[in-house]
Amino acid sequence: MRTVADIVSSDCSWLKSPGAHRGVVISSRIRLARGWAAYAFHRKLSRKRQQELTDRLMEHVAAAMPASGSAWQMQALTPIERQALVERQIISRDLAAAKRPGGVFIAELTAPTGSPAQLLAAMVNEEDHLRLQVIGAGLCLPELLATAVAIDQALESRVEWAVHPQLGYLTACHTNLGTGLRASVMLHLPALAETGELKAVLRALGKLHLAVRGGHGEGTEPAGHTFQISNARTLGATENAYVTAINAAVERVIAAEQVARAVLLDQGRSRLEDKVFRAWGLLSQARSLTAEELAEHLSWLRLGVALDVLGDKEWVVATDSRTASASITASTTASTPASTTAATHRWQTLDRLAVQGQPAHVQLLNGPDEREPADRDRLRADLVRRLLNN
Amino acid sequence: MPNPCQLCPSPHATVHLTEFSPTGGRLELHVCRDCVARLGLVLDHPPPLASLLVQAQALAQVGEDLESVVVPNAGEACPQCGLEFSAYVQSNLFGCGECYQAFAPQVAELVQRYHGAVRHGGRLPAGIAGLSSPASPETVTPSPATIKRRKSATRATLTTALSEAIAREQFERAAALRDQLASLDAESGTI
Ligand SMILES: [Zn+2]
Ligand SMILES: [Zn+2]
Repeated sequence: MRTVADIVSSDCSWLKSPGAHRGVVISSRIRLARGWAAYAFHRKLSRKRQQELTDRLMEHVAAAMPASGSAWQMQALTPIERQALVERQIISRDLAAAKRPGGVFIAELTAPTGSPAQLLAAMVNEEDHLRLQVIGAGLCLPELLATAVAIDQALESRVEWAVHPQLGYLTACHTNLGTGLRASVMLHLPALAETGELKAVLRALGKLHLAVRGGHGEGTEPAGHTFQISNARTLGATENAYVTAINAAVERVIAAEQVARAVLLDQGRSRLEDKVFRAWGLLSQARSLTAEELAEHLSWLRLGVALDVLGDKEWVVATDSRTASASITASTTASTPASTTAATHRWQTLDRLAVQGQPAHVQLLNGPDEREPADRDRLRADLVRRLLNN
Repeated sequence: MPNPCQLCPSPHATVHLTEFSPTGGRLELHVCRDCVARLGLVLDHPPPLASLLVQAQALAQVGEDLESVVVPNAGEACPQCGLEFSAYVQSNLFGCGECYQAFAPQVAELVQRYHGAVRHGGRLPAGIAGLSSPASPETVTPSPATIKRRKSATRATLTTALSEAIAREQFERAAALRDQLASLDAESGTI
């Protein structure tokens, strides 16, 4: 059993997978919402029964998962640990803020070669009794759905889910009814933002009943040009149909972003290079960085890697002891195994910076003590320099 | 707390069927997973509840009276958890699964407005999924012949139930059954 501090200091191993469309798609996620027929939803469930539900469901979840993992009762986590799990997008802000009993389970599923590794996470007694999540790098919704359905099938032989013949799986809110499915894809769209086409693209998605949010959940301003696209509707179609619809929409957005990137390169290569190298210079040298600054500059660095603008720049990846000394030089031939590995490591470093540079991560990486913001900014800059230089 | 099954002694009903009769009455039936299987219930197209009850009684000799499922309109609060619909409107959080039955008309409207559909088209748990909906929506819709066959079977059970009800002087029940028959005939005209 690992501690949250262990999780925070470890790499997201599932992000090591190459993943499809890695230059634009950061990650994909499948979420299933389920209610246990034997219990009322939390607003009408006594604290004692909520605790009973949490204990029982946590046990069933651990038994039904295809991999062993770590589990915590929410009460056992400090506010900063909860915040770190929110930053990893393992738990929701709602669950982190809730005063009621609840639990979280995390495991990693190493998939056969060729298919992406997956992060399995379960929230117990969130808005619904169970929120099951499967997350992977790049665009991989069908694979994630298959895993989620397999886990749900293992669970349904243990737990009697609340279902209604016409309405499907019953959830606390009518917006999740039916499949209880939320399929979402996190995209990096700096070129569409830069060329001003983003608004039109996002408006078109709304017409397809897809929801678009800033990268970090509801109600936040998109930091670093990341956007999350998900299905708004959950009842009426099959799970596969929702996933297919999102995939199709996401592929169109990816194509639009790639056209916009080509336009940026074509019309202003030197300006783009300047932005990318300024970001590189700032991140690799700064002695103090706010989370917002990091997100903004990381966005340009990510674009630089995607477009190979940083081409011959030496890039040392300090992911673990084995690869810490491996200096990777990007190759201009895109499809050789060596360059694929190099690209994967670069994405991994960028993702790691994005994850570990967040406030609760910076804090937990440097011990359990509460830190002042200025102190955190200094520690964040140290971390970024350490990962980008050697 | 879960509802007991109304067709057998099981304490856990997972399937909740509701019907509104044109006269304003409401029929409710809570059924467990085993009974769904036992009766070969096709959940996407459940038969009229009255006929289902008759069928269940014939099959299991469970002396369940129809009156017990003709519940008065729940009004403002969920009979299971006490949540009022106005409280849902404020928070968008129901109190229990039963709320979906208690507020069925309001739910139908909310669901239609939000999802653009009122019928779940995806998976259901294995025991239920096998009986109701195969994975793809195309195969869910029964052929007109199937519907016709199902309806004539339903009409037969309804007619039997109706004459039984009249014989036992259960006039409320008889009225409900007549409504069922009338709506069945009205539907048949459209095929
Ligand atoms: Zn039963
Ligand atoms: Zn209720």
